[in-house]
Amino acid sequence: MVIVSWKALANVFKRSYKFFCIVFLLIGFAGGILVPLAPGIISADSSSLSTFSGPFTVKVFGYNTHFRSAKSSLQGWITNEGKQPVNTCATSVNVIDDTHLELSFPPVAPLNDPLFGLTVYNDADGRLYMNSAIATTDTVRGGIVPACNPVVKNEKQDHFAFPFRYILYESMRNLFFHVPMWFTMIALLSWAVVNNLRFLRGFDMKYDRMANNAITTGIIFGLLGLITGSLWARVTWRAWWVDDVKLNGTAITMLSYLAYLVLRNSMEDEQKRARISAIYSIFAYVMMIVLIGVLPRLQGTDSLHPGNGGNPAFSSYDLDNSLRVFFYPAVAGWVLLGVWIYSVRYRMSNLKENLAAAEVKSRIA
Amino acid sequence: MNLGRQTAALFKREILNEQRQKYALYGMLLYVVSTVFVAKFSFRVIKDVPAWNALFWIILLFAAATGIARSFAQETRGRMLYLYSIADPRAVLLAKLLYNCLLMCFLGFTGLAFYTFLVGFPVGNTGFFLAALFLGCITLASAFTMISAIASKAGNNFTLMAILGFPVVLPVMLAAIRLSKHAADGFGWSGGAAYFGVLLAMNIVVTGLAYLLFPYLWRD
Amino acid sequence: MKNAVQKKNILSAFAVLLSLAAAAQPNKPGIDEELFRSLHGNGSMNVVLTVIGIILAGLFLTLFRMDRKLSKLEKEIKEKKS
Repeated sequence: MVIVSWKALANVFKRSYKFFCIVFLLIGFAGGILVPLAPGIISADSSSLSTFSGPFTVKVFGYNTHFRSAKSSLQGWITNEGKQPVNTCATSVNVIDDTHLELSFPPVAPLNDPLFGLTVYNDADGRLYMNSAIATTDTVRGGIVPACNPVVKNEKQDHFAFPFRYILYESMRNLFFHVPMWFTMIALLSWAVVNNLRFLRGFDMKYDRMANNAITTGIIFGLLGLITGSLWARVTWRAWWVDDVKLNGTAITMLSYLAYLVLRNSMEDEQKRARISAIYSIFAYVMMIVLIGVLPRLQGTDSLHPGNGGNPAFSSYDLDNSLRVFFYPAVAGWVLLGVWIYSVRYRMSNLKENLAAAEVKSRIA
Repeated sequence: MNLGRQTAALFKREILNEQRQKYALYGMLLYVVSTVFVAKFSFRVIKDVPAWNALFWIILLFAAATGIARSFAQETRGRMLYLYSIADPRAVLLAKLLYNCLLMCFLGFTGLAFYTFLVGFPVGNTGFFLAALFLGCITLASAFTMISAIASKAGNNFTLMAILGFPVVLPVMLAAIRLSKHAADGFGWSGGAAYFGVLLAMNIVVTGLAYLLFPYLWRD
Repeated sequence: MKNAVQKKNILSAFAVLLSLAAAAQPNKPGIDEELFRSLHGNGSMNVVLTVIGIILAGLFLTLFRMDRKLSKLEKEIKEKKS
């Protein structure tokens, strides 16, 4: 049995966390910016609203694709989904450049669903699929369906890449920058509550300083998370502010912690101030847990954020493995950076406290 | 049980106090009624159920903020000191809490009566709606009681009460609005149970926190 | 006299604000729409860069404020010693 004392563990952490912070942040930044995005289809425009009235062409706009360089193995087909998906292959493929392509199709009548999925395949990019890419206004059902069986050699392209998601595209990388802000905020606020409780146990002002600095640092990260989130929302959801439980929850949490600052500044006496703000902080923390931890789960489909369903851009994606490799280090790095900033602030407040104490002493003497 | 007996005595004292200064209670009632009138004259009749429901809860929120802010603020410092010297602080809190729950329920139900009379009552499942109202009122009351105690310790002004209280009370409001809308839409226990549970859990958590933390708050 | 001038200034400022608000209507392609398009550039990579920029700016602002606080503290300690 090895007994590791809490203090020894804390010491090891104190000595090494800055190093780990830098290493993890570097991993997060390098991976988050440099790893390429997997190829995918951004848009597909059909030349006609009907798929049955005559042959039609589809203009395909790809991202990070190799249409020209892997021209020999290029195939395209549309799939009418149903109980038994039926593929219809393009009769001719006209490559414009690496990311642009024109596919010509024979007349097709859908079996049942008026929507077709589009697949473009080549050996370099693998199978690229776009959901409901083509819609038809035809009312004819179950007509002529020229079926075919395309040959697929590589399901996926073989280099390491982040998954391609419609609408998100490269902005998926915000996962390594925007999301860790929240983790950092929650970590710092949790640390603050721990210290609030420790303060109430023995009324040691040291814990009050710890809690207060953790909260101010947490607020900084929370505000950064809100601003960056708002910007990201503008791009993916087309609005600065979407009515989302998680977003509203965090905004309200910020309000309650700003109220904490007001409360703290409204009192002069230090002991009293520490005590009352500790009580309010515990209260606000518990409510925050309810607000961002419990209520969003109840609503399910209302949230646009991952883990709650309802959003096409996210629902299919539970952190992909390639994202995970960099996501965890990035979160750890940002949280440690938060801890670093907090510790500098805490030590500064200690210095200030010592100065004030020395002054009181000299005045008495 | 000592705590129970003290709480009962202090609760009686709260009621006596209220009887002695009836104008305060009437004032609050008048406040609710006049806000309902304002709602009436700005909307005439509200047919939209979510709007009707949300407006009612907003009226209740402000009634709670103004009504419960008084509960600690009205006590003079000397009277508070006297209370603490003869009674357990937790008994003081519990008495205030009970009294505020009663007050809030009274305001809620009379407010609902006026609101129904003037604006309308487009509720599908009345029984469940009343249960939601009851639960929402006591949860609001218990959250505001603690906030009122904090605000009264820190300078004691209404602005502080609002700043501190609204963000903390918002989860309660959200759950209460959702629950009562669910009832107003005519749905019953199935489906509403989750919100009912959350509201109940919040009530327990808030009351528990207040019970545990209040002794630290009162000592000067 | 001075009051009247002030009033005029306030009024004109108000007018400017109003016209700005009118320009920012969502149905007209205004500044907002342009920003949206530019953020979408490079396959939405511009958002990521902006987000990183905002975070770094925020952290540097924090650093700057802490630095100023620390200088003040240092000055106080120096005064104490002398």
